[in-house]
Order: sequence, then structure tokens, then C-alpha cells
Amino acid sequence: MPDNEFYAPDDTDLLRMENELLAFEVRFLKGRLGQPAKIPGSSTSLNRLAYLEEAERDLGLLLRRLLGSPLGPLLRRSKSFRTLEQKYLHSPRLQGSSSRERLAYLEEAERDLILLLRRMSSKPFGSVLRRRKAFRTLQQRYL
Amino acid sequence: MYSARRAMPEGRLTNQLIVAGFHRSGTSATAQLLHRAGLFLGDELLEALPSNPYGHFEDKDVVDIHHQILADNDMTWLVDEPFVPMVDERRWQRMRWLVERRNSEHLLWGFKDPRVCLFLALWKYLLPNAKVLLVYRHFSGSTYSLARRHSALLFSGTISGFLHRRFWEEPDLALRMWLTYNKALLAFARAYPDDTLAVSMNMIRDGFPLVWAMERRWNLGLEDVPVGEIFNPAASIERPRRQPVSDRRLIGEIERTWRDLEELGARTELMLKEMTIAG
Repeated sequence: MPDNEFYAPDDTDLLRMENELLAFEVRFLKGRLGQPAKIPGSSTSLNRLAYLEEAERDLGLLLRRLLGSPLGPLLRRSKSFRTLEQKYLHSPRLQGSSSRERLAYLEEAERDLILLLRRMSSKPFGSVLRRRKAFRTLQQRYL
Repeated sequence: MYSARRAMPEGRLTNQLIVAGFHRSGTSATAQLLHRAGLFLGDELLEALPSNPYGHFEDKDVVDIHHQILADNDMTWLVDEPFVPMVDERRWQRMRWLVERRNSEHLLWGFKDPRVCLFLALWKYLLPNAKVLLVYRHFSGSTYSLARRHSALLFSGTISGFLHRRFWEEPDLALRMWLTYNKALLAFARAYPDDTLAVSMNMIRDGFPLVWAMERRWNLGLEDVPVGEIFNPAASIERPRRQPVSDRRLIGEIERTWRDLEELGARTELMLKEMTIAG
């Protein structure tokens, strides 16, 4: 091609390139839909993250319910219960923390919720609590 | 002239093998095969990426030298027109240092980097006895694979989109790059026919006994290994439709270049046949 000839892309060229890029974008997005998206810099999928965030919300709701019940003052006497209350109801939710720290916090919340549900299920109250649909749902979901 | 084929301490001579080919032409898979066969490819190789899950098999030192020379010439690896690099003394020194170090440590060594297509003459000057394996692929497959890789990088937002976007801002950029790199390969093959061997990506994928053929031709001391599963299926996907082109003036030149490459590949096939008959 002679060096002195200029070449300016016309509308057809631009349209072709745009179409090609769009086709690749569709392919890329389809590929992403086919596999769970990942949290940047971690091997945790966004589905797992959503699940952990739900566990944290459920733990908060459960703790509030328990504290508001007639058993609340009795439960507060337990040091581990006070720790849970402090950690998940009165402490800041690590909003500004990095995704790794946030993930670690959520995974701990999931573990704490499972431990709490196990304890509640095994105590003499377990058979009474199981009569409640909300408790059975939590048991089914996390245990 | 500086000679790199110097004696090692124990008096033995060293051999060098350079793997050259345009981006997305199967050079990584080829280098992986040669690495398995015993070719030393560098102290520190570039890590694997989603676009090259089995690894690039590129020596960081060599890639760095090539990047520096390109930058000295105000260029990136997106070279799409004939290019004669200006190389300053610092770069020569670094290349010499690398050659000396490798020669003192390895009887057989080499490297792979697609950018080397643009710098083969420089390396041949430093390594007069170096052998060069040319790996080529049809423009349609190479340019499509390149576009796929850079669209994925662009959409995933892993790094700045400026470079990736150029493929969709400049018509025929990938095609012109394919042409530039492969014409440089052909020019080198014509200048040094005895020191080059050309294979297509399809030949290797289809089981061409590359290591055996190279050993018969050059006796480098490579160990014959099966080709096996060295090809990433995603990298060898072909373009689903015909090759788009904006500047029709490119067509003739690209077709000629492809025919010339295929002719080189056919020569390699013929050589293999003759060697097989000769036993």
C-alpha cells in the first residue's frame, strides 16, 4: 500500500467494528451467566456472597427476636450471647472494609448462626421452637 | 563480530532455538512442547492467564527487552506496518548480557515471544548459529482469537481499555499486524533457509512429529515427547464467518503472504517425508 495514501474509516467500517465488538460482548456476558460471577480477587462466587449476607441478616433477626422475648434477660446472662449481641447488633457492619475483610466477617456470621441454631435445637426448648415455621425454615436453610 | 556460539567451560558448544510466530498462532503450545522436550526457555516465565491457561512460556527478560526496544521506538506490540527498530547501546548490552548468561549456563536454550518476529535479525546477529522455528496460523483464526482475547480483557475491565479498544477503533488493525509479523518471518526464512523450519499451528495440532523432525534436521539434543493435550481448545477456535476487511487493498497481500507461509510449511512436510524414507 503506498505510504502517501491516507485512509479514513467510513461509516460502514465503524458499524462493522461496533457490531463485532457487540457480538463479543454478548458472548462474554453469556459466558459470565453460564458460570457464577466471582468477587474480584477472590474465589468466592457472588451467589455464595449473597447467601452469606442473608445468613448475617437472619442472625441479626434471630438475635433481636430472642432478646425481645421473655427469655431475653436470661439469655443476656450468658457471656457468649452478649458477645453475639455486641458483634452483630451493636457494632458497625464493616461497610468501608475491603472485600476480603467483609467476606471473613460474613463467613464468621454464618458460623455463629449455625452454632446458635444447633444450641437452640438441642436444648429442651428445641422441641418447642421447632413448632414455629420460621425456626424450621432457619434449621432447614443452615443446618 | 561478537560470537555467541562460544565454548562452555567444559569445551562444549551451545545451541539456541527461537520460537517465532504471530500472536495467537500456537507459539505457546509449541513452546510448551519444546519445554517438555528439554529446551530451557528462561529463568522466569510469564504466568498463565485466562487467555493462555497453560502458560505463555515467555521469558520475562526477553519480553522486557522487546518491550523496551518497542518503547524506544515509540511503539507497542501493536505493530501494523514494516518496522526497522532503532536499538541503542543499552539494549544491545542487555541482549549481550542475556546471551552470555544463557550460554554459560545452558548447552541448549531458547525463548519464545511473538514480538521476536520483529527482532529476528537482531538476535541472529548476536546468535549467528541460532535456529528459528516459525509457527504460523491462518489470518482468520489468529485475528479472531486476538479479538476474542482483547474483547474479554476489555469487558472484564482488568486493565486499561485503551490498548484493547484499538482493535475496534482502527479497521483491519489485527489483519495488518498479522501481515507485518508474518512478512517479517518470511523475510527471515528467505535470508536463512538452513536455520529455519516452518510449521503451521494445524500441523502441530494434527500430530506433526515436530521434535523428531527438528532433531533429525538440527540435532539439538531434544527429547522426543508426545504432542498430547498441549492445545487450549478455546485458543484454536476458528472464526465462525468469513474474514471481514475494510481496506480491500490488503486482500491481495494477505493472500500472497498466506500462500508463501503454506509453501514453507509444505517444504517442512516434504522434508519429513524424505527423512522418513531415508530412515
